[in-house]
Amino acid sequence: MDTSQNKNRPANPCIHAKNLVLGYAIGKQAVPVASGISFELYNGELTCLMGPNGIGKSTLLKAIMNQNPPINGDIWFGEKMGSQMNESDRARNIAVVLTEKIRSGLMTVRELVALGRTPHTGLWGHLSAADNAFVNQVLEMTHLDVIAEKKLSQLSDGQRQTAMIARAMAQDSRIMILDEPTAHLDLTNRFEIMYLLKKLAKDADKAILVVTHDLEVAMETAAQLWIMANQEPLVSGSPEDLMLEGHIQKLLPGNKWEIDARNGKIRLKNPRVLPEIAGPEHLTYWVKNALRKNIEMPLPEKLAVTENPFKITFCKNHEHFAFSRTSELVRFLKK
Amino acid sequence: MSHRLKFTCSLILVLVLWLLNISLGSISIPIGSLLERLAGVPFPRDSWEIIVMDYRIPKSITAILAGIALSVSGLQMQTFFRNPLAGPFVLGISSGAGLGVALLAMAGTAFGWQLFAGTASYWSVILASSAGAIGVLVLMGLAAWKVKDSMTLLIVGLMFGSAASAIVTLLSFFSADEELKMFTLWSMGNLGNTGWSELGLLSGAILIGLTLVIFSVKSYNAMLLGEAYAKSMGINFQKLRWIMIVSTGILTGGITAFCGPIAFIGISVPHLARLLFKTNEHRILFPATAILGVLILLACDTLAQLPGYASSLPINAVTTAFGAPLIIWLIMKRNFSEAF
Amino acid sequence: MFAIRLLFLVLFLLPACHQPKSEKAIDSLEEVPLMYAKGFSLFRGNNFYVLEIIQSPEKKQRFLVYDPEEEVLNPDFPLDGKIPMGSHKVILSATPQVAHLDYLHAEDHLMAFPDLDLISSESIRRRIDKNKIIDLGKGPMTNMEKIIDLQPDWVMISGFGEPFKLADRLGAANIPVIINQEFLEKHPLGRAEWIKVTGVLLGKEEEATAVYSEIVANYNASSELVAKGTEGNKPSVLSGSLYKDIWYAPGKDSWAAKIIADAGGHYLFDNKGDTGSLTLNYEFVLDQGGQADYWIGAANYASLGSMVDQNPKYGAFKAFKEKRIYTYTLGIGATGGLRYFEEGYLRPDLVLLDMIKILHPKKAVKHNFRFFEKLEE
Repeated sequence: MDTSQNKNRPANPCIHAKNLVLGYAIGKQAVPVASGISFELYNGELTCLMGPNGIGKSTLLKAIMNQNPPINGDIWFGEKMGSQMNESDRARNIAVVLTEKIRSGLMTVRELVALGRTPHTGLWGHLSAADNAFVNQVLEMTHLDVIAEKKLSQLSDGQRQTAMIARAMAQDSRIMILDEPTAHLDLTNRFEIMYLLKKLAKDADKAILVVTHDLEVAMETAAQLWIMANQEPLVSGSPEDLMLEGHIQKLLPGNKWEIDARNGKIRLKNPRVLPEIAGPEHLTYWVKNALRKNIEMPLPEKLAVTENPFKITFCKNHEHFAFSRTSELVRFLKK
Repeated sequence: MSHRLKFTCSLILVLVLWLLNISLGSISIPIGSLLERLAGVPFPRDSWEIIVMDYRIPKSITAILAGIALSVSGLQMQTFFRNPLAGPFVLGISSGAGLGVALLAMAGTAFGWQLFAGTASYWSVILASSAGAIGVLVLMGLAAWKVKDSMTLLIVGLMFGSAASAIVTLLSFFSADEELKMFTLWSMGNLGNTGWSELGLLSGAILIGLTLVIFSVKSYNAMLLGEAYAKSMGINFQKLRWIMIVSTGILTGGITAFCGPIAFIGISVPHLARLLFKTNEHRILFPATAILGVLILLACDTLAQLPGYASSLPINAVTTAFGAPLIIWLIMKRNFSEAF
Repeated sequence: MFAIRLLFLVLFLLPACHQPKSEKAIDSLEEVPLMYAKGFSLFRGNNFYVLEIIQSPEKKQRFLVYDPEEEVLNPDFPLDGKIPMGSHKVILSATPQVAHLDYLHAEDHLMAFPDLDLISSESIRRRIDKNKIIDLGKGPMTNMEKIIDLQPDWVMISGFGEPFKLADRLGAANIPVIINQEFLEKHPLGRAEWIKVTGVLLGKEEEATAVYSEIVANYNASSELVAKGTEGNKPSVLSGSLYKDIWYAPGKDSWAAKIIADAGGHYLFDNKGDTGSLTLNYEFVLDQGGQADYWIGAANYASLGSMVDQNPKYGAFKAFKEKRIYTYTLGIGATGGLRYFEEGYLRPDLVLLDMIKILHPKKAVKHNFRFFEKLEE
């Protein structure tokens, strides 16, 4: 458990728990899925929860949302115990964004975001001037103000997911929980959404917990990482610390894969030694990548790469070979 | 066209259709005479007084109540189950009511009972129908208690409906001609069977059902995002479920008890409302659905009267002729599931 | 070319060659003259009869009714069955024919009947109580297995529904099935004349003719009596009953409409429909018939109170308010069967007298109601 104090961090965590046992009730039996789960979630930062499938990430989320309370142990929200909160309190404390795609195509973006005010409005769901102002603010923050009157059926996937986040924002809760929000999105959107979340956590002082599989984006944007691994307690810390201390490898159980400590990329364990390649790093890196993928080929001992024009060259048996594309090189070596 | 304008137009249309409904029929009563009667001038023919006062006006009010009750129930079902083909009868209410009436009408011959000799009385049909509907609803309530998943609940409702229909089929097989005919006629729906005193009772029931719905408008809006999101926004899902079951029971069960099962209004009118008002916001959608339900059913009833002919059509024939093509057309439109 | 034409000619003539033989055979028999009935024909031979029942314009059923003590004939023409006269193994399926048995003193000829409770004739009820008649059960389909097992000499079924299927199946078991179409007769006396069919089958042709002639005489005498002096005075008559807001009434050519007319009444729907029943809507009937003087034939309600309990709309009719509603519930058998549905079709003369007694009481002072009674509170 990471104990280093960020001097900007608030003293009290939004959510904390110690030694939880999580699981499901099947009939009268309690089936544990994960145990020894302890964590602290702070506001003002983006936290990513990661781990292999089936490890219990969703179970942890459901425990926090009280849909599936822990078999053993309590979850604290500040001074209050989770099991003691009523529906209304919970709605004011936690807002969620789930993976499922909603339909309701006739709703406008503004109406969707306004739904987030539900816990705060009265019997009829009528929005006050303050509510409307808040909705406008959220729309601006998420850059949805230009498409506020568009119907949901007219939005792209990325826009729709942003709108769901905006709705969660409008709920004005201290805590936001997102379950794989970028699962179905393209590359650009994945980064955009996570950057947005990081910004929102800071600007709106929220505690944002995101379950994701996207290691690269998490490393880029998260202030904290929680890693769940089989038969082990939850490990938390900054992504860099977890990398440096090696905990990050828990994300890839088994003997086949590991994370390259130099660049955070996933690769096979015990990679074969590659030949020396002279040249600028940003070019040699990619030539190495091509060679690594074709490791069974006979490889020359030394290669050189030049820029302007791009050329890969090597000598073999006193012969010079030159290629302008990696694919040509690979084809040649395969022969 | 703004919503306000649409509502105003609809209300004017309701008034027009209402007058037409009272004026047209086998006997054509000119609107002029109607207005004069309002001013206190008696009708030129005595029979018109009875026809208009004791038959057509109560019938039109029944149509209005049924139009509201069935379409609002249908909207509830569609939003709650997030299913565009849900209607007020998915909880098995019409099958339960049918079973009640079938037992009353046909169990006599089937089981050799002499209990129901002769024709069943007016109130016994209403009671039998209500009892059947309540029976199925109680079973649904028990199921709702045990079954957490909404899709499963929907299927359970449909299965109860099938079971009830199967029993009715069995009874039909063994029953005598007149009883079978009586039951068949009941199941074709009939708006013209409520007198003024019964209308009072029916209106009261509809009012109670509607009140329950009105106070849940906010929850229905939240349900547009699905159960998980609604719960996360603080909606008491179990409470909503019960309100839905009880209000549908009262609204749909009440109408079915007095008028028999009336088809297609509950399924098609909410779609029409969405089509015309282009919104999912239930504070607009519920009133819109109610008004459109009134319009459609008044129109269907006027047509069913076959103005100028001595006979008339059963109401279900007309509502199905309207509703079925509408649903088919909607499904064929490419953006059906997105627009839902 | 010529050969082909010759071939065609021969082919056309061949059936013609066959026909005269069978027709001639029937032509050689004496046709029994009928007075009003159009649905059947009767031919008399030496100790046998040929009975023809018209099923449709193209199809007739033909039966040979023979004296079991003589040898059975094998005629050339096609038959649907051979029936021994006077058999005691007879199965009927409708109450009108039960009345025939009663009048012909032939109660002991009935072997089985579906739903025995419908029978009201006292003499037959006595036999039922002694378990001499087998119950074929209720339900829309007669119990075919049981029928085959009983080996009746003939079965009579109604032309409603799908009689031909049943006829074929029983025919395969060599049981003649007579499909009764008496309900299609337009004239009430035509329907009553079908007692002759039952009579012939039971070997009691003469008795049947005698009974029938009396009925005809009665009927014509009564209707003539009424025809004089009631031209200008025909009370308006409503008939039928409501289900919710649909009114079912007899059509203009129906049995009931004719009798009302012959009784000196003006049936309000004598310009609508045909022999079947009419489906009208309530407001039309209220408008046209709300002021009718009499209402004759209002289903089987027990009292005015029960009518209005079942449907409050009845209260708006003048005939209801002035208590001039008559219906055919007089004469209920021990087990609930209505006399009207049994004897009524055989005795249109009594039905006529009942109606005359209702509409022009002074012309039927000596007659006591047989089928109709006035509904009270």
